[in-house]
Amino acid sequence: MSAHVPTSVDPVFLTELLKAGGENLKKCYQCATCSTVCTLTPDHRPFPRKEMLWASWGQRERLLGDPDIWLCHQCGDCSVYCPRGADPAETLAAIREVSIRHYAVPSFLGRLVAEPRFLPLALAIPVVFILAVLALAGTLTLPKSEIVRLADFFPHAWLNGSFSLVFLATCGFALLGASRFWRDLQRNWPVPGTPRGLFESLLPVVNEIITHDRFSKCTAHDHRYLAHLGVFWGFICLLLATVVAILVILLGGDYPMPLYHPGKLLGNVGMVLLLSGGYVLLKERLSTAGKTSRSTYQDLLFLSILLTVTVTGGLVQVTRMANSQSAYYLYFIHLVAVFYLLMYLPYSKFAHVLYRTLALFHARRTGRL
Amino acid sequence: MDKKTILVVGAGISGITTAIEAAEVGHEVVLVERLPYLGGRVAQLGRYFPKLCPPYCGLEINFRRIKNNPRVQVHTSTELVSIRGDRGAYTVELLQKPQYVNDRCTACGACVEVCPVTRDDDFNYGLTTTKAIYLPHEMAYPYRYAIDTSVCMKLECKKCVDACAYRAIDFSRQDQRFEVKVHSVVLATGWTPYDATKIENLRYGSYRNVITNVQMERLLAANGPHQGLILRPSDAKAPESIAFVQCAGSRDDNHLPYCSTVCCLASMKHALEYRERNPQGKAFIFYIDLRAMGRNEDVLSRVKADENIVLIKGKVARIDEEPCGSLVVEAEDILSGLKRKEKVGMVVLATGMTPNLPALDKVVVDEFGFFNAEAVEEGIFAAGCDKAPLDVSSALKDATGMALKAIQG
Ligand SMILES: Cc1cc2nc3c(=O)[nH]c(=O)nc-3n(C[C@H](O)[C@H](O)[C@H](O)COP(=O)(O)OP(=O)(O)OC[C@H]3O[C@@H](n4cnc5c(N)ncnc54)[C@H](O)[C@@H]3O)c2cc1C
Ligand code: SF4
Ligand code: SF4
Repeated sequence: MSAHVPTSVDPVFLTELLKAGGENLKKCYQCATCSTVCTLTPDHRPFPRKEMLWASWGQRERLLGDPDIWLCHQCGDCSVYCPRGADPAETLAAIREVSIRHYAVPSFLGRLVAEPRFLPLALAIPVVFILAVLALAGTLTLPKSEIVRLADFFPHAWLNGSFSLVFLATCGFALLGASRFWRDLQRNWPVPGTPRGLFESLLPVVNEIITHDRFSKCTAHDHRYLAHLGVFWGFICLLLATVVAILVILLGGDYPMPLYHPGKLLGNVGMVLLLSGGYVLLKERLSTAGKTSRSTYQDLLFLSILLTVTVTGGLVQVTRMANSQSAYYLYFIHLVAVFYLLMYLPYSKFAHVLYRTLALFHARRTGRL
Repeated sequence: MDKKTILVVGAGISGITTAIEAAEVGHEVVLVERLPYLGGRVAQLGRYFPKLCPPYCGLEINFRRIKNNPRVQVHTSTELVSIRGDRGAYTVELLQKPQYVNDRCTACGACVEVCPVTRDDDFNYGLTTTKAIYLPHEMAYPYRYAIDTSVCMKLECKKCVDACAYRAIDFSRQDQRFEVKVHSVVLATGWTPYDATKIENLRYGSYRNVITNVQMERLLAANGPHQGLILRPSDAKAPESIAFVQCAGSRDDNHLPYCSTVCCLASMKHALEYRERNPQGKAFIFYIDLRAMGRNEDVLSRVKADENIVLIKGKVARIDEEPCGSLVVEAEDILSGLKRKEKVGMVVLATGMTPNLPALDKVVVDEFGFFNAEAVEEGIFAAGCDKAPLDVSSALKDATGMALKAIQG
């Protein structure tokens, strides 16, 4: 199958990119310094020079089905050396952001998380949802018991039940978006000859995700990869800890789990990893206001929510053990933030786990990586 | 005719032209040059586009015109210190560095034999060394030895004084400050090559076989380091191929934001000369845009006609060195969309030109440091590369025009 080369031009797309952080992309004069200094690009049709050209032409279709925008980790090597200050790293980030919005199903949720003016509404949805579930469960008032027990506030069955439902719905929407992206990938970048086998393609992807080996080749912001690795593994630990907790509850085990319980230990290790990595990332995002790796509203919001989940989670644990009533309030904030992460997964920056993974898989399958 | 005195600062091809044009119509000219010899950067060129002839013929004609014209007063090793007053009545202060070697010098070279100190030869852009007492170059005008005061041990050593049979060396000479009254001033202080060590990813200064275009000019010159043979620095062997890296630090916000206008042609000239002298050699020119204006397009046509000069659209952004001293240059070949890694024997960086204007109140510069013609002070003008990076023929036209400006009013 020969590659479909989309030639359509969409001026609105260009405006969207300029707003999403690509405001300097028009300065590009196609020297290709960026494609050469990039340590992550393949040699065959390297990025990001071609993306810069397509972006300034407003070639939406071509860019959205371009796996390369996801092979980039915004190390910023290209932006440091770009002779024109065109910020290719930031432009690719903007394309990714617009891309996530493009594939969002339903599309209004994409807009909801993308625009700062909708933030109150975006936060109100989880708040109202949780309050409604509490009302249904009949626990809308704070428990009066002497000992702080979170289950008295939000009964486990209601918590697990309602959150699982939302998660299922999210997964459904995510799959729809992902399949549309996959279709575009295959249309724009068909497999030349026979594709690599499924496992042969999948293994290196898994390896790359768990070791961040490609990310580690960045030179301009070399500690970013370590920080991201921390966040990634912290998140995985916390996810596993949650699964363990749910199992313990379902099997009628000792809950809350004692501190030395492996599930608990895993959770606390995860918390430390995520907090330290997240702190470094956030600090960097806030401090590199100047030269490279400018951050957008989306970058900052996503990191803040992730950190809120972690910090409130830790505080709930401490206040609960100290038997302080504030545990209930913190727990409430914690749940709102967790809900936010879950519900907006396919629309926020979190969606990169989906699209990047697919693009990496595609790149391995087609032999691009 | 009302006879006026004009100060011309800088005796490169532009300053010499302004000086001669003004003097030949009857005005007095004070021409000051901070180096011990005249000619500026053109004296250092190896070949001269568009005709690819040796550049010295043009300079020599001009030196003769200066020599034969009593109205041009030349001060070498002299710098401009200050300008006071207004158009029609400027008082300028000049500072001449001690002239340790005087007119009695016959350039016999006895001093060089005994001088114990060596220095980098800036005429050859550091490709060779000289003694602290040296002849600037074989065609130097004035033709006499000079002393590099920054390294010379003077009276502590004075071996040269004893060796000189003509008693041409005198360490008792001091700095000389003097003032002249002039009608107008023409600055023709020219340019300096951009410091290539600042372009870290191109490795000038750390890889020996990465040289700059001005060094390449010296390699081409018959009075250059190897009498015109193009040999690379690490092992003095002829490189089997050369990569030219265009816009090295030019058109780059991190370095020089402007186009230096001549470096494309300079590299084309270098490639043609290299190919002529090394028929087996191969040249690669990596460019963003190849700029050859006006009749210089002929040079581009000659380059295109040679199948062993490969033009690649895409800027070199990475260079690696192999143990043998050869280099691998890397760029994206934009027209094919593929990465290109080319192993070559030597790399020439096409570095740009930075202005040399003196920092004086009355000299107003633009954002890039060139003379700002809009904010010009009545009576102070700039010629040639003080205004913008120019090739010689454009600089000459400009310099002639400035002679007219300077004698008006
Ligand atoms: C690699 C390269 C190759 C080139 N090849 C060609 C070519 O083939 N053909 C062509 O047409 N052009 C060529 N050019 C351009 C050419 O070199 C310039 O056009 C030319 O040198 C301009 O002469 P100028 O007199 O304006 O400046 P300069 O040659 O720089 O002369 C300025 C003079 O002023 C003196 N000076 C500086 N400051 C002071 C001061 N404060 N007081 C007193 N004196 C001072 C300097 O010592 C110098 O002698 C080339 C340029 C480069 C970079
Ligand atoms: S983004 Fe910058 S480095 Fe890349 S091609 Fe454009 S101008 Fe050159
Ligand atoms: S003349 Fe050519 S090499 Fe020099 S700055 Fe201009 S475009 Fe670049």
